[in-house]
Amino acid sequence: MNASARKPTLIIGIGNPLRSDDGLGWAVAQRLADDGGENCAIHTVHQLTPELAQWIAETKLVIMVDASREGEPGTVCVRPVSPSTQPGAAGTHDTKPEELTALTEAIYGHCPPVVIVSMTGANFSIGEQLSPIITRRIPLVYEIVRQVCATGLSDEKRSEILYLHAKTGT
Amino acid sequence: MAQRITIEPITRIEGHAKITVQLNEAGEVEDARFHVTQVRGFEKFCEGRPFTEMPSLMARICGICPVSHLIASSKACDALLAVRIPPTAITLRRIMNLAQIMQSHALSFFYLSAPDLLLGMDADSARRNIFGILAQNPQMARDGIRLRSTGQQIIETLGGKRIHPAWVVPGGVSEPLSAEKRERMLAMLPEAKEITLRTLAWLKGTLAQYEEEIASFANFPSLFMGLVNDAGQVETYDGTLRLVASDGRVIADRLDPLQYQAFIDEKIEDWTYLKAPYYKPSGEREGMYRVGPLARLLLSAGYGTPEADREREEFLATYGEVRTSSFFYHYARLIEILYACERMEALLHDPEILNPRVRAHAEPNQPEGIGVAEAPRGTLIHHYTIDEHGLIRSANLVIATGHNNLAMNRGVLQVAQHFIRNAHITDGILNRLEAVIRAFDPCLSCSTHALGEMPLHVQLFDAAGALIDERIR
Repeated sequence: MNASARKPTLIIGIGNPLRSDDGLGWAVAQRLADDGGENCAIHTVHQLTPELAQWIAETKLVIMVDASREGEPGTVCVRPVSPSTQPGAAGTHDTKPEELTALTEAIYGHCPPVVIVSMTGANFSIGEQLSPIITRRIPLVYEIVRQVCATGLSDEKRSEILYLHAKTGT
Repeated sequence: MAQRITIEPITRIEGHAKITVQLNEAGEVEDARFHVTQVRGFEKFCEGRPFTEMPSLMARICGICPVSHLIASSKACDALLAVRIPPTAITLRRIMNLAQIMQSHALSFFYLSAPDLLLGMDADSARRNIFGILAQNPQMARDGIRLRSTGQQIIETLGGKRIHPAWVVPGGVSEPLSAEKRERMLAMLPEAKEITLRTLAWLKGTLAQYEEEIASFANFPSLFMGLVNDAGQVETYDGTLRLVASDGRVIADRLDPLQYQAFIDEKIEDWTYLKAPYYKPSGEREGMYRVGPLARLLLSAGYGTPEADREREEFLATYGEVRTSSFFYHYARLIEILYACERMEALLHDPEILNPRVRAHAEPNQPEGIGVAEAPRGTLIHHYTIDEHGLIRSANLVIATGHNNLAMNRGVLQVAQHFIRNAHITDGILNRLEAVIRAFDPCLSCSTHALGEMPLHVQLFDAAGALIDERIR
């Protein structure tokens, strides 16, 4: 992993694997790497930093995989990212996806479509184990990432937010 | 009425801190303090852990300079094993340390300090960030990202990952270098050098605007401390310690860093969690010293690489007596990146660099081990003792930012006294109080803090402690 080779799709697994469900992004990235991921460059990061802009600018599609604190545990959200119109400090610790896309566009003149695939975690305390509900639903996140990776984002889906709820299955 | 001004938190540094300025009855600055308001506890909670875990644990101290802790910790563990590690492992560790210096200095210069230098100390704080740099000088924004990324990629190439690599281990390194990786790293260096030279040229052209800051940013006599090699040149991995005075006099030379307790005392204050070391033979007041890139530049006979030495000579010839101003840490950082490029290139051409013998294996053979190296911000000391089972009994860490603590406090006082008039605090003065701290690039902690969201909070208290004014940015 962490290959910087120029591939059509860049997958960024975000999180801290020592913080239980925050390790979701790394777990999905690891699985994708284990399964080949021929057309993908796969990075794992603790947080987004400005250096990622140069790799983002060199690809056609970026998929960020992250754990979320919002909503019911296990809820999966697929959300396209729009560059921020009011970028913040974009510093060493806390660069938001919207700021990173704005930075990429500003520095390199273009930014490919960026999608965040996230799942709401149940436990963010110290530990290396994912919660049972997260472990059960990782295959779903993995499939969504693979699907987006394979088909890209159609124009109409570039502004659409998709939620898959754990309880209802919808 | 006596007043106290509190600036909290200080932005664009690594960690949490605040500044308080005490005014007297006449509204003049009487005292100023730099308080580190966070405690980490690493020295305490590693007690009882197997010493073999120490490099990995200590690397977690910081998300910016994990490699420095990794190297100092591994050197302390080498001493516990009582082994001489293979020469190729030393060379490989040196390269990783230089890549760390490159990426950390690039972060400090381009991300944290360039907004002040490019946009000015009086610019709107909302603009003083990487987007502000981008608007003013897009090439510089691209260069900053590229240069930091180069240092990180070299670390990643050697260690498998760019943050918290586990490749440096007690006894050496875990894996030898391949020819393919060597070529990949060598290919990155010419561009890094080009960026550094371009940025140096820009900085030299802009310094005329900062005469007042150069004169007042921690510009006072002090000692300077750092590692040097046998030729008296900058050394980042081994060597002996040298202390010089501001006028260039050598105060102490060829000090064995493993005997640091014989000549360094660590003072503790009740208003900050940061220890304040000083050079014991000179006493607390006269023994204040500075470490880091400016100290290394001033106390050494040079870097031993042609382009960095040329830049150093030009700097010394241009700035003469004011060369000891801490404002020049920025300048020294760039020269040191240039040195790192040149030195890494030379080390990667070492005929033994691909030698597969890179690790010595042993059981613990000594109850005490000390590891010393130069981190980006200055001399870093890890000191461990273990019990008969190899479990950590005690750990003492003397970190570069601690060495600079007394000088940072004096620097805050100097800026406050120079710029504050009639108890009136402008945004420009607030910026300068932060910027003098930022010149030292203090690393107060590590990777879990949301710097970008921190407001600047200033409170004004009267002599009785009542809040009489408050500003939040």
